[in-house]
Amino acid sequence: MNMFAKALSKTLVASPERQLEADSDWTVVQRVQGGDVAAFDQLIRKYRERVYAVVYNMTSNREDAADLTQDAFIKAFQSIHRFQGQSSFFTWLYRIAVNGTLSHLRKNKLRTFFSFEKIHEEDKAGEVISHLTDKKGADRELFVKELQEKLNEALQKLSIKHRTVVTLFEIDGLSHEEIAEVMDCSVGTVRSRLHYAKQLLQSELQSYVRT
Amino acid sequence: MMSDRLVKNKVTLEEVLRLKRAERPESAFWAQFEQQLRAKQLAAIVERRPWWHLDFSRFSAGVAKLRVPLGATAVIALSIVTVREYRKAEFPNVVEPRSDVSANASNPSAASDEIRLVAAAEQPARAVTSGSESSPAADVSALQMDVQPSVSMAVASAAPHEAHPSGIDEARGGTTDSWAVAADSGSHGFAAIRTASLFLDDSLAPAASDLSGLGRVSSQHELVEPLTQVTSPTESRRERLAALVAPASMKRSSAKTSTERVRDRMISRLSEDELYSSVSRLGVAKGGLSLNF
Repeated sequence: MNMFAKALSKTLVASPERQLEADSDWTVVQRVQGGDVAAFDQLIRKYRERVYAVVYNMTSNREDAADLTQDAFIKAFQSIHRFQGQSSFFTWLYRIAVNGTLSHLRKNKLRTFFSFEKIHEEDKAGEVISHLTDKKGADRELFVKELQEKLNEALQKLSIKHRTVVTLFEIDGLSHEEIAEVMDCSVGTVRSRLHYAKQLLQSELQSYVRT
Repeated sequence: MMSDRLVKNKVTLEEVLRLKRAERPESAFWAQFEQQLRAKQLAAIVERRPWWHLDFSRFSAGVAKLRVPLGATAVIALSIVTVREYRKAEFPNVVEPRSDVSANASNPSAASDEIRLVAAAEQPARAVTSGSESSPAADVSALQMDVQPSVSMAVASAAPHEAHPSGIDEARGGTTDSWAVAADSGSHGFAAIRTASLFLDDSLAPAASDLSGLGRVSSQHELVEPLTQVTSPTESRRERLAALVAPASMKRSSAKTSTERVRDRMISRLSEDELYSSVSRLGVAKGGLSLNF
């Protein structure tokens, strides 16, 4: 009961959707801990896109992102018996993925090789692109590719920690508290890093971004 | 800047960063991703352990299999050693027939000789006390049959005395001193047994030199007198034996002695003092026999 209360107090800061998600994840995790190994596949299918997105936006390399995401799931599977439900599962999984990615980026600081995923214009991305340009066809594709390169270059100019904060907040949509929990730092530090990172990105992307 | 010329309207930074959310892999990528993840998951499950872990687990498994038999063997060995040491410490100067047998367990012939010798030593004494119909000389010859050749040689050295014509004649001829002759023959038997025992000790000593404690035990044999093992006949038993034997001796005897006289003589011959004095007159040495008058 004490463990459940701790988990509840942690997840109360999150949104109700996050709370429901955390509860259902905890049920699946308990099944895995009880020996139902196949139940872990549910967690993989549920979080693989989100974890991959975080790692990809941190590394800007799809091959590295795929390997690091797989490693994160393997580590989570191997140490799931240590997960006590004191935090939500996705926060715990994010922490594993972010720490692995940070370690990878520190090891390969000098090696910067980009390989981008294709931008899918079905969602709001198409509106943004249409707002930026009137081009059609191949010219539009060229414009999008140029924008993508500029955006990733600007992100790579940030430090690893600033890039991580921006990725988790602006791209993945985590709250300040959740980012603080994932990165094992205070909420003030998260806000500070986020502010500084936005300033840098603003200056780097001033051709596309209005002040 | 080409971008400045191409951009129609500027957007917010948040909207630009939202483009990053649209960077997603194709569905085929996830099939490959899942396949690679399965392979890594299996590799992590069946991860090869270091060789020292494997060897240690094999060693511990082997020891676990042998744990019970080894423990039982160790307990049995410890208890045997403890019992042996305890018995030696408790009876340091006393001959232990069981320890002799156990010490000779590795040499079954020696052990059987010892046992047979003890049994044969009791036989003449019984014959003397009970006044058996068979002659003591026959008992001694039975002893010769039982013991091993080395022992038989020792007994054979005493055989000329037993085969003394006068002794045999007196015993079989039914003279008035037949019981005295029988007693003498009995004492000869004891002497022969003692000779055989000494000879047996000498012959067994080299064979048992590698066994600890056997030499000590065999030297302790010399301290034991054969006659001390013979129980002294009580007065009533002596009377009963005399009553049983007297008619037979009367039949065989051609002399004209009375029954009382024969009985008295028998009783006097069967007495312990007489028996001991007759034996003490015999000097037994290795391979020789001296008689004091």
